[in-house]
Amino acid sequence: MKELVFVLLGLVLFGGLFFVIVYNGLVGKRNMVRNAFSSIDVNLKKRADLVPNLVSTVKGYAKHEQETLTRVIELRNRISEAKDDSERFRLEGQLGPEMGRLFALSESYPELRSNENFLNLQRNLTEIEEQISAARRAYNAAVLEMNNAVESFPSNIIANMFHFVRHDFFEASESDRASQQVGFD
Amino acid sequence: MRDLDSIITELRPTLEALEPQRLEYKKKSATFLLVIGCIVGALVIAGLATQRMIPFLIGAAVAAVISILIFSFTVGKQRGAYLMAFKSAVIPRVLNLIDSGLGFDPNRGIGSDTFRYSELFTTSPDRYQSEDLVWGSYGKTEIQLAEIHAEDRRTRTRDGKTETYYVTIFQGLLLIADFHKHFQGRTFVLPDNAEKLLGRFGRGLQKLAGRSGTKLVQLEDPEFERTFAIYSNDQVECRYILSTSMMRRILDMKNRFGKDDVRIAFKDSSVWIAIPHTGSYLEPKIGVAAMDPTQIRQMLGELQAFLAIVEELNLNTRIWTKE
Repeated sequence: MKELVFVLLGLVLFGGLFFVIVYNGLVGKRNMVRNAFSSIDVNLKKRADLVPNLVSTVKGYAKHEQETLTRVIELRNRISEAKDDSERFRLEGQLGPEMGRLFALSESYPELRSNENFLNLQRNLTEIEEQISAARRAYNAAVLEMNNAVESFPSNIIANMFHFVRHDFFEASESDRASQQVGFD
Repeated sequence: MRDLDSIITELRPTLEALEPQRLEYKKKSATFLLVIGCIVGALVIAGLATQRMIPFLIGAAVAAVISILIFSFTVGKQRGAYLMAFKSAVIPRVLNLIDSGLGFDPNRGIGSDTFRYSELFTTSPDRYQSEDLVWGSYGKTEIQLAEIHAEDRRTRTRDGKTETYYVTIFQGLLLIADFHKHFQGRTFVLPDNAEKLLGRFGRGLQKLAGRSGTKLVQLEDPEFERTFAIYSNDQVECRYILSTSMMRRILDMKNRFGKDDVRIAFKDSSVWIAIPHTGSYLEPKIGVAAMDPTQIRQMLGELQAFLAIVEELNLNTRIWTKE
């Protein structure tokens, strides 16, 4: 009888310990996903912040590109007024290539290429695009770990009990993928 | 740009002036060896003749040790002086051919504090040597490159006697280069011995290793993952540094050197690369004439092999905010 009590006690202790480890692991993984997501967010905001400066620099040189300039400003305004994340990310996905197009204007306007401010903005955009891509990769790595934990046995039992859910990978939009063909590094 | 041949011609008078120094050393060392050989031989023969080997053998050993000491303090110094004069004359010119922004000092190296600070190796060295410092700007990249030999002192007890011996922590070249992107955190790319040996279980062990405050990072490139264990204190920044193309570039560099234990640290917006190397590096041979152009060509080759890392990792491309 005494032995049975010890065995039961041992099982309960083991079960408790297992629960704590798995639960904390899941919380850690979920926080990693959130953290990675917020760094994508921060970098997308940084990119959108370049727009006013970029537009005012380009305006002076490329008067015939009014249409592109208006489109970029409009996109930026719609981003700041976006109702939810999914709409915002869809618009962000369009902003990247549009901005890329503005920088490509320097091909047809050589004076733009020698403008110090323009070159500086170009460096900043390259930097931010690189940061966004890094943040996306970090997010996807975090999601992979999270999804593995949520789906595999036995951690899936605790995940289901406490509503830890699968996350979607951050996929590059079609237009983004096209613009990434021109790699920098 | 001037070519190597014109430098070889230009250096000829300087090297011809050094040649007598080399020949004198060779002659003196040969004489010295002959004298030591005669003394030791005579003592051994005397031992055989008198049937009292032990005192004569001890005498021979003492004579040999004393002669070696005298040799290193007299003729040995001459060798050092020759090597130094040769390197000081040749290497700055050869470096100039690679990039005029590079300088060389055979007596200086990378300090042991800097070596420790890199965190590339966890053991702190007890005996440390560094020489042949190349420094300056290579293209747009500031670099420091030096030969390093770091050792750890250990003791063991054998037959009741405690003896001290040294184990090499690292012997090879350390390159410190300004990285082309700004970053604040610490990222380490270390050889992945655990996963190679133990597979999945090894991956579990990796999590326990690493440097203080860092976590294991899983990257997308499977070959890179198999070859290296990556640790960082910033998951996003680590991927900003190790872009998909940078991972490829690092793998290519590692394969070019063909060494397993290549270690890389990213710290203070710089990259620190340790490449094991045990053969001679920037050392002229005593047996080869000072004017022999093959030595100079070899030195250029050695310098190019290590400095090529800067190009290989694309560090001279400055399209990000860091100029």
